[in-house]
Amino acid sequence: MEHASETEVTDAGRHIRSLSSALQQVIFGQEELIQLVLTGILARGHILLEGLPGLGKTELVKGLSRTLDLDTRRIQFTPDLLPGDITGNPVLQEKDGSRQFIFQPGPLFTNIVLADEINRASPKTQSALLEAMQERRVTVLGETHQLPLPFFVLATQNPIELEGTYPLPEAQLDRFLFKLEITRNDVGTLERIVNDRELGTEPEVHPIMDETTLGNILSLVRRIFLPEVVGNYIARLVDATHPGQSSAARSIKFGSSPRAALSLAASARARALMNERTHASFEDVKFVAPSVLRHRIILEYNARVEGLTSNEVISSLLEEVPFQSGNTPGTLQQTSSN
Amino acid sequence: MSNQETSAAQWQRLARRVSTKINLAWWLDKLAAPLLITTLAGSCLILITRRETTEFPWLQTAIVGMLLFLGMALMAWWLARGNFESPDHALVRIEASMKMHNALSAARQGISPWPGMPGNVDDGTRWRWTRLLSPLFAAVLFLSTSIFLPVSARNDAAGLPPDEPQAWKDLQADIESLGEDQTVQEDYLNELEERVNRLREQNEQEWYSHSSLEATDALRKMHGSELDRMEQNLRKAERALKNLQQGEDKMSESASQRLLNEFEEALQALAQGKMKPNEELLKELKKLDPANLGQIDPEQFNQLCENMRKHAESCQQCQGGGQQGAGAVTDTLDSLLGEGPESNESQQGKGGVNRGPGSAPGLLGDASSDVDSGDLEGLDSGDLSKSLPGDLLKLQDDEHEVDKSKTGLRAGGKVEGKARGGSRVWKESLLPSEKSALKDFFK
Repeated sequence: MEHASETEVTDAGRHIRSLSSALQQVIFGQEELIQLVLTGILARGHILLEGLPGLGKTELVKGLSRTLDLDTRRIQFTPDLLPGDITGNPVLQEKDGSRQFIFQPGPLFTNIVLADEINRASPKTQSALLEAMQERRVTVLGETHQLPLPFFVLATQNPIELEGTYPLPEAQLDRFLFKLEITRNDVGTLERIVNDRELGTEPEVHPIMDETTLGNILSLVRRIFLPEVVGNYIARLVDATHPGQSSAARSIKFGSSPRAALSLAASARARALMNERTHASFEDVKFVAPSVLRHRIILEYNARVEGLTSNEVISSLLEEVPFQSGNTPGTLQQTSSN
Repeated sequence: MSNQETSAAQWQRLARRVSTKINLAWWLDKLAAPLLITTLAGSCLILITRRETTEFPWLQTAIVGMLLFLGMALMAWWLARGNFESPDHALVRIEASMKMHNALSAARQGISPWPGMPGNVDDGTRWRWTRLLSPLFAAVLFLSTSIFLPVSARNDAAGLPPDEPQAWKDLQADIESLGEDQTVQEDYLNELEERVNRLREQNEQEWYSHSSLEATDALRKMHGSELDRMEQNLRKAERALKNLQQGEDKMSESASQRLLNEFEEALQALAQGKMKPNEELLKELKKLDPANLGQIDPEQFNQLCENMRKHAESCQQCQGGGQQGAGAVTDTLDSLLGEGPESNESQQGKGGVNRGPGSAPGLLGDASSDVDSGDLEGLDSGDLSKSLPGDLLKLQDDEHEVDKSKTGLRAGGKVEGKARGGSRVWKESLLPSEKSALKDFFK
């Protein structure tokens, strides 16, 4: 595969910058979150947004769908939602003089699915998303239906009010490229929101990128060069999440899967493109690692009791695993850290 | 050369330099422990060798040391080579340290152009001097200590002949002394020397064997008794001659005869003993007619007497048997029999905790009525827990507390005491400080 050229990268970077600027008009004070969401989209990944109500999760997804000019459907997940409600159902219809089961596509058949409060649906319904998210297709009554491309699932969940919810199974979580935590706004941001917005009105957003441009950029991400040393760093980082492989992993019960390594590589490439570089770097991996790994490691019971969080463990991991593979001799002192 | 090629060359040169630094650091890291252990062991070995040998083989030691160091260096290289970094790896280290977003790796792969060399380049490592130099200093310290510490070579006692018994030395000294003074005829001295030499000719291990010491003791006693006998005979002869000369006219016939007999006996003993006096002296004594001493020149007589006295003194001064000869034996026997002169200084066997070693006097004689137990000493056990009723625990030289104040006659019914209270109390019963305090209060 031909590597991305400087010109292509610069051109794509310009588009992405525009997209980012437009999204910053939708949601204020969340520049890093916007960067990560765009990184996830460029890496063709699904994103799980976690945050308290009213922080702008849904608004961000709606803004994204409008700027990308893609078809978007919103599914409000509830405990009584059935798999067929999202994948679609075969309906008995009369066709050419005979009655046949005609498949009626569900809300999954779109480009961007906003799965609001995904953890409120039953595991059965959550599992209906597995095939769609991984293979971009849906199988109903033995009949497989391809989903439109590009296909992204942007799910939200509330970290509080857990009564009556069904935590996402590990297999489901692993299919999300990123799990992003939306933090509260500072006073300056709140002041800007109060001054610029009104309750019940949506910000005016214009499409920035058409489907073709997005397709080109998505294919360009795959052509971003990933140096061997960066690949080696990703491998060592993922390996270090497993118990016994690093001192930070003492708090981890189960480490990350190879899908995590692939996700890191893809998102590092996307991040490099956003920074208008033709190659990914250690710094790109380090930037996306918390979002990629935080939902892919399971902490030990003791660590959770002690109040240790996944973010803290991942920070320790990133400090512990050096960029270069070789050790430094005792006669030398490492002056720069990762 | 284009800018790109120049930059590439600069970065690769830097990578080679960093790679060399890292590899050298690994080599030094692996060398430290063997160097310390080897120098410590080597230093001990040098110290032991210096102690054991008089001539230290410095050259050979230096060569062996160099070879050892070479061996260690090779071993350290062998151990460290698994960690050695190539220039490409060093390039990654540089770009990681300088946060260059892997621009050098991408440029090496031809993906992106080589970046320009910045003014300040950092490979992210710094020498840890304390860790680097500590083993080196320790090694130098060990070696310097082992080389410069003053150590004297140990005397090899096993290699040298042992000291011969003191008695042989004393006998040899007597032989030389008597030979020099020509006090004794040489036959006796030769025979004595031959006997001493025969003892010396034994195996050195046998010098202090029981039989050898027994023989030595017998020889010393024999020599001592000979010396003693000759000395006594010489003095006896001299005394007889002097008495004969002084009382020539006044002395009775019988007394004169007794002295003549004494002289004859002494002369005979001198002539017949193993140890004979100087031949000339013996001849002169034999030629002398003690009955006609008046005919001899007084000066010649005095000279003869002087010679005899000198010879006797020479015998007395000899060490071989003089001190523990017959005289000493007699003294010891007298002491044991309780008949000898009593010395106040030697309190052998007398009672008391400090009585010292030795046998009590009078051990072999008649039982003495006086036990002569010496001064009585009280021993303080300090342990009163085992004392019984009636045991004397303590003696104290003290007086009873008796009120010795004299009291005169008192008339009955007369009250002498003053009333208590009022001004009397504060004037007579209080201390001066209390009085002043009260005065101040009432002011």
